[in-house]
This record gives sequence, structure tokens and C-alpha cells, in this order.
Amino acid sequence: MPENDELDLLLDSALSTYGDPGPNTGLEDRVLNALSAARESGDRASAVARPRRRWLPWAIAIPVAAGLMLLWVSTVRTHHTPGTAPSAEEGVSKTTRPRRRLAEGRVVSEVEAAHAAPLPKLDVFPTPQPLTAEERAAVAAVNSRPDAEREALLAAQKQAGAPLSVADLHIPPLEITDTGNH
Amino acid sequence: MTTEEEAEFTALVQRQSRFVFRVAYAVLLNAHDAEDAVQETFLKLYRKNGWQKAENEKAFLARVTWRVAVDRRRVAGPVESIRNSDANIDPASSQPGPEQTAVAANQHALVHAMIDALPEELRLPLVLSAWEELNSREIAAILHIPEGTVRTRLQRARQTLRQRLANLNSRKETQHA
Repeated sequence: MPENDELDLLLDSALSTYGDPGPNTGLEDRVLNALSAARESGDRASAVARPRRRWLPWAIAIPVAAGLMLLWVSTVRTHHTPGTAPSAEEGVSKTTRPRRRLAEGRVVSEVEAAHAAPLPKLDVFPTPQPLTAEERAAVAAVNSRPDAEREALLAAQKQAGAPLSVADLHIPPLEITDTGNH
Repeated sequence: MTTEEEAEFTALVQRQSRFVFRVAYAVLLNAHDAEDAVQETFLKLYRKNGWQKAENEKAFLARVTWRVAVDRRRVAGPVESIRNSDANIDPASSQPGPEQTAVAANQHALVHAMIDALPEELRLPLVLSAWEELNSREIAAILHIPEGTVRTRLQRARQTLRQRLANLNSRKETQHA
């Protein structure tokens, strides 16, 4: 229908201008100005917040770096040896060997100390030491006892070094007597 | 943003501000609110920096703008068109010596008022389809409705407007007669 065609043309024409703010209204400039203002206020807000947040990365990084440094130092000192590795004859685990401090304050393992200064070979081991007070008291007690007791003590001392022998066990059979009580 | 990106964004604003305004106006029916929505849309795009990756620039902008305008309206409450849909404007003026542009402007104003009065579900597809760069598939993606629904609503919208214009014309003819 012609009327419908005219109406459709009118509709299309009106739709093409619907909501159009029109040319040269300054819309673009206003939008750009508003964006600039928002950016500046946003930059100011973030600049205020920035000093507060500036320390945060350092607060995280420094403890992490310190922890890594400590780990590295402990690893290096655990695995550090002056020359060759200790031989299998010693059968020592370096990780379990206790440390001792030398006069110079340097912490070394006993393995390292043994390699550094070999000990002299002794004829009698252990080296006889003077009697302690308790040992002197024991000797005095033995000397003051009667001969029988002294001999028993000496026998016990000898036995202490001798291998133990256990006598065969002999259990005599029980003798049951009838008491007549039923 | 780098200087180059700043320049690109400025060009985007200058290129698409009017289009974004029209989308916002279709939802808000108010020029001031529509301009606020335009600013909010571009500010959001500037901060998110996703506009450079969009395949279809207009469809992307329409989607973002529609969402911004709908959120704005949800906060502000429903608004009525500032245009009077019952404007006493003579579509075929018989005044002695009318300018063609003035007549056309009058007619357009009348139709615009009628479009404002349409339910939103009919108005939005109709308005978005008026800009040739957006097809029914893109409109469906913007409004989150099936493509078939977009076509159906377009037909209904045009039919409704045609009917109202025809009724208005017949009323005027009756008055003149």
C-alpha cells in the first residue's frame, strides 16, 4: 500500500536521526575533558595511596631474600670440605658429626679436626689416670675387709671379665603326700 | 597507556561518541543522562583497556554502553521521555509557506516521541537496527536475546509505529474535514 510505503519511509528517516545529538555539539570535547579530569583525580588518589603501598613489596621481598640467603649459607657450610671427602673406613656421616669451636672461633667438624692434627699412638689405652675419691674409698674398703670377703671381691672382679656360664637347671620332682582331707 | 594508545583512544572517542550517545539515549530517553552514560562508558573502556581487541568496534561499544545505561537506569529508576508523545504536532502541516526541513523536523519529532513511547523490548532492537553497522545477530548478542526474537520484535515495533502514525493521520484528516 502506498500509505504504508510512505509511513515506512518516514519511519526510516526518523529512525536515522533518533537519539542523534547532532553535529558540532561539543559532545566529544566534553567527554575527553571529563576523561582527563577523571584520570587526574585517579592519578592523585593513586599517588596518595602509592607511598602507603610502596613499602609492601619491600616488606615481602626482604624476608624472602633473607630466608634464601640463610638457606644458601647453611647449604654451603654443610657441604664444604677442605680437601678430599672422608674415606669409607671412618664410616662417619658428616651431617650427623657434631661441631666444635676452635680457639680461633672457627666452627669445624671433628672430621676436619682429625685430618688437621693426627693424635699420637699410646702404649696403654686408656691412659691410666690417678684414682678418684670414690675409687680410693673402694680400695680402702676392700683392704679393711676380712680375707674371705676380699677373696670373694677379687673373684667377682675376675668373673667380671670372664664369660658367663649358666649351670644346668635341675628341678627335683615333687613329692605329693596324701593328707587324707577330701 | 603509551602516548600512541592515548592518541588512539582519543580518536576512538571522537569517532564513536555520537554512536555511543544514541545507544545510551535509546535506553535512558534523556540527553543529560545519556551524556553521563557516554562518559562513564569511555572511562570504563580507558581503565579496562579492552577496546583495542574488539573485532567489531560498534558492536563492542554498543554492548558496553547498553550495560552502563541499564545499570544507570536501575539505580536512578525508570525515566519517562522528556518528549511529549501526544505532541500536538501536525504531521502534514497546511500552514502557508512551510519549509520542507521544518516539516520534516516536525515529523521526525513526532515519530521520535512515538519511539520513546514504545516498550523497551521493542524500542531497543528497532533503534539499534536503524544503524546499518549492526545486524540482527549483533543486536541479539548485545541484548542477550535470540536472533529470531530480534527479528520478531523489529517487525512488531515497525507495525506498532505504522499503526499509530496511520491512526494519527486519520484523526487529523477527520479534524480538518
